[in-house]
Amino acid sequence: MKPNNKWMAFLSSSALISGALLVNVLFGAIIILLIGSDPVVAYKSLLHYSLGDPVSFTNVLTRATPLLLAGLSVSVAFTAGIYNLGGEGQIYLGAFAAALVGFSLNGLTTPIHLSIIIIAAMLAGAIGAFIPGWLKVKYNVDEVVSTILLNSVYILFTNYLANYPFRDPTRWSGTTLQVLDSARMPVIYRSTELNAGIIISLFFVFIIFIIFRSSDLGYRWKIIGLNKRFSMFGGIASGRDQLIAMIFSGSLAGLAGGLLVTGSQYRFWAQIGGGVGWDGVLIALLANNNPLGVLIAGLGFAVVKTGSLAMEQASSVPSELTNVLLALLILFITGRKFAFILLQRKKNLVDIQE
Amino acid sequence: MNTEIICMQNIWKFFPGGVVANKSASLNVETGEIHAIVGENGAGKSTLMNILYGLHLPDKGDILLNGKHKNITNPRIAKKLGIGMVHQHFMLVPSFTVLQNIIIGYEPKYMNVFINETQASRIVSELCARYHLDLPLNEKVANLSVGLQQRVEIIKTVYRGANILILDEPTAVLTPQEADELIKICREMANQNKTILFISHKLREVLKISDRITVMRSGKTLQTVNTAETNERELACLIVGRERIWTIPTLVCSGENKPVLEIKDISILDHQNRNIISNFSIQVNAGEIVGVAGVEGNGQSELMNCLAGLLPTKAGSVTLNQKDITHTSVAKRRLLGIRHIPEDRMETGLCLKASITENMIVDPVSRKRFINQSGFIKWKCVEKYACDKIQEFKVLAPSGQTLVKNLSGGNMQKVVAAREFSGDYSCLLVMHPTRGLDIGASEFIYQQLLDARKNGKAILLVSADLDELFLVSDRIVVIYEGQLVAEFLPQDVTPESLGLYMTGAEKKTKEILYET
Amino acid sequence: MESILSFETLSTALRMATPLILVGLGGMISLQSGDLNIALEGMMLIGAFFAILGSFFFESALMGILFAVIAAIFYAVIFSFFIIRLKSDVFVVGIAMNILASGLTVFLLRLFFQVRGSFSDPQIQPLAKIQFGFLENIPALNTLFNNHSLFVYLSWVLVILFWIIFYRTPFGFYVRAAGEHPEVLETAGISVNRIRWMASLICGLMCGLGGAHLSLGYLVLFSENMTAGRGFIALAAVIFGGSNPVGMALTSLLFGFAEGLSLRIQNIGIPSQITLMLPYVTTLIALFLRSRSHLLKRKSDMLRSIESE
Repeated sequence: MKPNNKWMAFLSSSALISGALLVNVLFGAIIILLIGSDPVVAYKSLLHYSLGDPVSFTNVLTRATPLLLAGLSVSVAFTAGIYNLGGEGQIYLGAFAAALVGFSLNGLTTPIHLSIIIIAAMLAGAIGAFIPGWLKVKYNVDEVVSTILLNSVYILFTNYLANYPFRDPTRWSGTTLQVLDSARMPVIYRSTELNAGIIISLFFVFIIFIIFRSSDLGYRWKIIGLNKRFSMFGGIASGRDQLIAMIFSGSLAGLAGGLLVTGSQYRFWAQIGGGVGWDGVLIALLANNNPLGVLIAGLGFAVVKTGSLAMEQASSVPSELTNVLLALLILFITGRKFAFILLQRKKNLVDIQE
Repeated sequence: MNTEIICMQNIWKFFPGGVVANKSASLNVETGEIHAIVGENGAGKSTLMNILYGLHLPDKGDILLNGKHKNITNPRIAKKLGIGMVHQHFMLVPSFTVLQNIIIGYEPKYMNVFINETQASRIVSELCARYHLDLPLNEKVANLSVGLQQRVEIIKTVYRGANILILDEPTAVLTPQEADELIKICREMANQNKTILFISHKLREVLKISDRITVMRSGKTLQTVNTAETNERELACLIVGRERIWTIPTLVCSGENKPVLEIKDISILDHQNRNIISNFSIQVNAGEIVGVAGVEGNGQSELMNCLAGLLPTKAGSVTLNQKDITHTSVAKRRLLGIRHIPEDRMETGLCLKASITENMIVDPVSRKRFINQSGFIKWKCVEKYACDKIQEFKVLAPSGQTLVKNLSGGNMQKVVAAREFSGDYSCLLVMHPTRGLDIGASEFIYQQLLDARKNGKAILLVSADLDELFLVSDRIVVIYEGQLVAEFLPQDVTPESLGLYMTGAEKKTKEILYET
Repeated sequence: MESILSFETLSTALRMATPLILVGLGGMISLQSGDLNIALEGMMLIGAFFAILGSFFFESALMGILFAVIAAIFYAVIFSFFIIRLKSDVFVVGIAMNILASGLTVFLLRLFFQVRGSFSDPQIQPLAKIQFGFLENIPALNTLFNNHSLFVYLSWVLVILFWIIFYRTPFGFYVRAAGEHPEVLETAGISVNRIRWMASLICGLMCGLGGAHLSLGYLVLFSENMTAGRGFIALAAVIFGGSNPVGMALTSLLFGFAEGLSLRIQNIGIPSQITLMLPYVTTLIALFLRSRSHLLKRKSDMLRSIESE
């Protein structure tokens, strides 16, 4: 198959992805049947309680806010050929920084307070990613292992801070004080949780898209990611650019954490991350590191996650099934090559017979 | 006594894409003979031998061994039939010892589970003695010279029971002296009734080694001649089908001796902190091509990478147009006027998964003018630039968006050439520019080099192909064990003589080298 | 202070090192055959869960081990299918399978045991402990080497076994050749893919054992994400060991010691969050020191230090 036409390539690739999606949905249906529930009821309730009415949809958008940033964070790093799997930990760093600035700075107006918080959160995340990035660039320490190890370190560290020095004495489990009113994102849809954070997330989707597409930095990242040797041969300072990618990546993750605190949680607590960092990895993989893909995949994730609880209520299918199906989706999509191979085999058989 | 051991009749082989690699090719080989198969790249020699070895299946035709019809469908069967092959790129595991490499897959076992190295050692030593070969059985292959590694490969095939040995371009990586050693080994084996087939395009050696020669061109076997009855010129005519047109217009000296690249006493360390280049000095003038001859692994790669800025020097200085660039970055060097055609065009010189357009602007000089003040790339302009270059360098590709991995080897090198020969520069570093390219593509590259030379560029050319060096160089220098050991004008030296310096058998004294 | 660096701690270190060693051996054979196995963490977690499952429903530790091994091998088969057959990207598949394992075990936890967080039950049979009578008379050695779960001893036996396999048997040679220069095997008539598959199955087996030890060895429970990064610590140990199982095992011992130490330190009042960081920080420092010493040796080669696996 030689799709010379760009459209043909796009269509055939979308067809295969849709195929994978379909297989995934069917697979889920089979599992639901095996559990003894009704897949139709399950899926219907999932969609209904996420897309069914405006309020549910605001929940989806609220959910999507940190997911988009997490996905972008991983995409930026992966594009530049460096594996930042430390998103979860960096989210915790950003969340804590946001909470700290959020409850300790008094007497500021909301826009100023939020701006400072955003910067603090991004800075905290950036530092969190800079460390393993620097270890990789300067000392060739494998970043897959180091970022994952640092996840635990950062999560434990921020938890320590929330349990001891910065603990809220009025609560029995380790959390920080609540952030001040001036540190809360304005709600943009009455009486829902939907806050201005979503606008910030969408803004960064746009920024990263522009960087990838048209900027010199984006070009350099792409080349480094595709062939580091070649980039160095051509004079690109790959170490420096990868470090910059890590800084961007960490900042985005940190911001996700910050938005979690200022947008809905209003304090830092033990499991504030909630696996968003890992969702971000899946989103980036699904999106093939493309910012627009991150948007679509991120929203998809948000829909599924928002609806999963309702699905459990309506059909007693454990909500955790959605996590399983989302992870499986990557495998199905990666496996779409298999369908390709099968088709090619049939084609070759036909050719030989001629 | 001389029975016919191999008979390949009427072999046809088609490849997808309409390529006819073998057209009714035939081959008759006698037992105990050293039989050479010669021809240009793409003549079909490798394909024919691969068919004999079972790596390809012929679409038509027969193979007879000792008069009996055989179906050689894979290398395992070939090996059972006593056919062994020594490939151009050695199949050796670097961290295994010589012995381990020889016995792999055919290990004598102890209690059927463990490898019995003592027994293996005995068997292999016997084999080595029989063919008067010397091999350090317990040395790691990674530490051996190329010539010795080749011997490991040869003994490996014999160990596996080969009576017929196919050698694919065996002398491509050897110095003239090592090639002589190989000739001796082949003779010894032939005397013990082993049959040797070898593919080569080096006529001088073919004439020395073989008993008979089969010439192939465009997939056909043209003629088989007795070596004693032919000569180089006649063979060359048969191979190209015409008088060789390798007459280069006499190089006109551009007159002034303006030094562009000055390398003074540099030393480079390898990853084990040993000197891989020591006290190396050379000067390349404007409008001059300096050819560097040397056996691979004597520091050429490191030298070129260092000059390009990819490796640091431990000592010494590099100057470009009187400006010290010893510690300058790759990007800065390019901006100052250095270009680099690397040894490994696919991995280092190109990004296969990127488009031609994207490959064309990786270096700062090409890319600079397309970046606006806010750091954005004007892609429309880049695409036009790439299109122009594609036309100028006759790259066969549908558009600039084509991914480089979909191009042929020759076209890939043209993309590299389009990037590196462009724009304003003063010094060009080139390594093995025509490796693996066919005649047409090679001629194109030579033309580019000569044009650049005419335009006053200083060119440093490293090549393993002595013919190539003699063809285009104004001066030829020899590198051996990281040092400059000789310098000649092409008309004052022969390839054999160069070979002596390349293997360290001779060294010019420092005074002769440095007389301006 | 003296109670921290006691034989007790060393004994704990041995215990904590065992899953690392088992998984590390699996990772090592995978790496030697040319496939970097990022999914060790996931396979271990799957092993840990299914060990509990088997042991609970059949009230037998042996069934637990069997379930763990079969499940982990199955997981390895899926991984290798993508890597070897489909030639997919190792990182994408590995990361996805780690995340999948996490979600899957949580889901199955709810499905089978109707709980969230963790599950424990007297019906679950732990791994047998071995008692060496002759050690009881020597108090120091007794603390150190006696009364450990079966796998602790088994892991060291396996280390030696793996060494023998790598350096004295044809199979071990083929594995190493597959990773270093696969064409050599092909021209010797040996299928490289077959070797890779076999290495992968062995890796699955080892991860199953490692996971079983984690959940059935001492604590006898399964909790969400209980592997807690051990798969990556084991990977670090593999990187350290290079091609030597003994080196990897000693490194795992070091990391196990850090874990053991972190538990001890909690007793003297340092917050648990800080002590729990110890194993991870130790691993990071070890990786850093190793990379730095490698880099000093290779300081003069920028191009070569672009490792591509």
